[in-house]
Amino acid sequence: MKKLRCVLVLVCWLSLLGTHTPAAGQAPVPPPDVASYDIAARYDPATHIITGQQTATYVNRTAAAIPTLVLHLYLNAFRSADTLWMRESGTQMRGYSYDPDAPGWIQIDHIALADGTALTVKALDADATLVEATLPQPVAPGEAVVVDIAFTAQLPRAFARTGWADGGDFMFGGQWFPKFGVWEEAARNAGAWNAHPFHANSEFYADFGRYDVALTLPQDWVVAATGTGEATVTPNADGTATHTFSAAHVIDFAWAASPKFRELTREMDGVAVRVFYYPQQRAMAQRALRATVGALPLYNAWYGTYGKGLYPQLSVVITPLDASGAGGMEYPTLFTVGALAGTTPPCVRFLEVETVHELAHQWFQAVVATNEAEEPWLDEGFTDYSTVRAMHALYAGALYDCGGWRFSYLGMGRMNYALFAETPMAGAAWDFDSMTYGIAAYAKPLLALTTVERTVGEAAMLCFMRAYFDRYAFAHPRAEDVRAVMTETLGADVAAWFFDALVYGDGALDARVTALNGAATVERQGDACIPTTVKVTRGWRGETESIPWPCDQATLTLGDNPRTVEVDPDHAIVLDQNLVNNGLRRAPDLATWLGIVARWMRALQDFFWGGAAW
Amino acid sequence: MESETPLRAYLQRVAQRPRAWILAYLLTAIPALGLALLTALAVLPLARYPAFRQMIETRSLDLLPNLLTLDVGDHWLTPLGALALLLIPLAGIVIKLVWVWLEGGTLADYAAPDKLTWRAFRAAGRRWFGVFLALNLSGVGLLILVGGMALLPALLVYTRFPALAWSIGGAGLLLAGLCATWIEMARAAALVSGERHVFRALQRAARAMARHWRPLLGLVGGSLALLGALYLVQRWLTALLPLSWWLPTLVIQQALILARLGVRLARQAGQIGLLIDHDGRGKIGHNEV
Repeated sequence: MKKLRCVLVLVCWLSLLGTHTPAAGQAPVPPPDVASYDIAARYDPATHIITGQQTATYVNRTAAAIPTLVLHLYLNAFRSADTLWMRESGTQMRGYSYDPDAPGWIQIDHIALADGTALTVKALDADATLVEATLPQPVAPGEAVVVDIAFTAQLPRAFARTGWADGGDFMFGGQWFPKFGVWEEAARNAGAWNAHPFHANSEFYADFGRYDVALTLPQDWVVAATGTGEATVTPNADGTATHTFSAAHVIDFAWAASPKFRELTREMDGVAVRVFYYPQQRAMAQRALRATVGALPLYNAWYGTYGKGLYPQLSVVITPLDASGAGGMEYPTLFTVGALAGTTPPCVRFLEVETVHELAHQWFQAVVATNEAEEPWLDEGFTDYSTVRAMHALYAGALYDCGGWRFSYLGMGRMNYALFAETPMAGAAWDFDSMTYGIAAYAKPLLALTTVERTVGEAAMLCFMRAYFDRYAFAHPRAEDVRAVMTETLGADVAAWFFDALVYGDGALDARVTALNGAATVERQGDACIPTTVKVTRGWRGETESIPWPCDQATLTLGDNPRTVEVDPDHAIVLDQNLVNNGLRRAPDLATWLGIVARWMRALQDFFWGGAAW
Repeated sequence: MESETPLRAYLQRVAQRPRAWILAYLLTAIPALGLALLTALAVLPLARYPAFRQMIETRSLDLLPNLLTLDVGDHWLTPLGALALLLIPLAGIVIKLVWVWLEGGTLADYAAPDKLTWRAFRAAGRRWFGVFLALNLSGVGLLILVGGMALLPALLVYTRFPALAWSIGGAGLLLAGLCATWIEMARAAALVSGERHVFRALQRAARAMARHWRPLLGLVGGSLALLGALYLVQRWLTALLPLSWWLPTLVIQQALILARLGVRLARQAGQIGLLIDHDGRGKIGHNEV
């Protein structure tokens, strides 16, 4: 196995030689802009209405002409309880419910080309979360189209990623403006818009571009927003102030505002980290800041520099408690953490998990911009795998670490995965219900990638991850692109079991010792197979032997009176549905049992004393 | 009035008159050992799985869901083990009652100038059982009241003002400690003064606490510090010792439990000492228990 790992690392690093990693000191090459926006918007905290004017530019970088413009109007999913989004979600998300008295919607008041030619839009779905405007003439390859759009958006009470809360003193603007779909070359010289109606499980997909945004709010409001450039605040005569932000090479623009915001800042690896929080959330903010500045250098070292060196800042917004439904969301250079996660004692680390998870999205979504709607496992899976790695490095893996007992984030992933282990990872967000979505997009890829890491070794795995990040930064890779990188860096065998059995197939596995008397029998259940080893202990002195168990043998019989048999003794294959039945002793381990008795006896004595023990 | 006995002398009585110490230890050790063996029989089949040992040794709950869904035949939670689990709370109640009885003899033994005879020890237990039980029940009520008064507002404000909640919780904890000390002192005050009326015993205890707050604080604070240190040592050693080293684990843990019990008894002996000598009362004799 060691030899194999060395070969893999060598192959992986050789494969990296051909990639375009900039040399030290060399500025990264910025990606070409596709979808850019210049927005001026005014927010009224009393009505929660945004009125905006935007000039949007879309550059055709394909070989196919674009005949129409397709725009997302995501907020219309919250217009009533009858929309597709609401029907799919049961009008709630992550335990937070829709308030029919505080709906959300967005309308295009006027849309015209830069030369003043008015356009008409028609809804592409019943809820008008997607609209289309036919152009007088197609946008030829290499050319750009510029449209001026006046829009009005009503934010809903926050329960699903966006909205207002705290009686109007907090707002989070996510998916708040008319936004282009992604024009893709479907076939040679033929293109199509990749854009779907807003589904409950679905997140987003967008092109890279530049955002120049001017936001006008009451003067005492503090604003946190996506940004890579200098932000300015200009007071206005009417008691408002205009905050301007610019962000280059990003796929979205989100912002949060409140008159109650306080701010903590710290610089880490050349990035200005800013945490925005309510005054009573200072302890949470400190925890979130510690997790962020702890994980940032780790991800930098493992995958590549944050924003490929193009993002100089990062904002973390702790939502107020009644806006926790807007927490746990990722946007370029900004992410949110729900306050509910921070209400636990410090030994329960939901806040830290959420923080390092959303931070990892800065690599796998904000920069490697996969299609969250059609292939959610690509960003959530890689992000959750990164979460496990960061939690392991920063908190010894523990999600729960109270009273001397631990439960890891990996353990939680295993628990969820075991519910529907056969769920394939591949599939669009709307192919799953909320339970199987969690397994397909989060738990299973996390376990599959961890299994790959433990099988090929950390160095080879990081080489693969770095190659993937490096090659597809500021691009839109698909699953097959990941497969190609995996094949190239880790070998076709690994890519085969990963993709054929787990990504596309309904493969699950459970290796177990089924009998242990004079001889032992071990067998595999489930369609997936990952080669492993069986450790056999014999004799009273405990001589051990490690026997390879290839995939062409469903069962293995081991003679010579084994004392203990353990399949995959290091628990590398965390995808195994039950790791306890992987090993068996011929007789109970009496010393261990007596050790339990001794500890249990002491616990009972403490219990009997109760309060008198003090 | 006889010359005052130094407080230290009362503390030393715990070791000089070890009967109460040994009885108190055996009172919990014997049922705990029996019930631990019985309940642990239920997990004996799991001792065939190396992962089970790993889980206990690393104190990781990651494999618990796998363990709970494991099919280990009819042995899992045997009827005997289930019965033992049911017996634990019942045994707890019986032990508490015996403990109350034991405290009468224990405090009387520490209060008397000479070691009590077995007969006097038993008689003191009988004599003070009702009073101490009533005091203990009052203490439980008081702790529920104080705990509730602190816990409810703390929980209500925790999500919005966590710092305030922790402050309320901390204040509640201090108040609960004060109440527990009060009840403990009331037992000693009742025995020393021969007061069998619960409320008057509480009154006497409150007066004594106000008068001798400084030595009492030293006594209670010192014992808590020692108990805390012993608890930390126990945690450290338990984490250090491999699960299979059951004999050293047993010996060390029981030694530490004996030490903790000794600290508690020393505190009670010290409270007796405070009340006898510093309240100007004569030492009680065998006939007064």
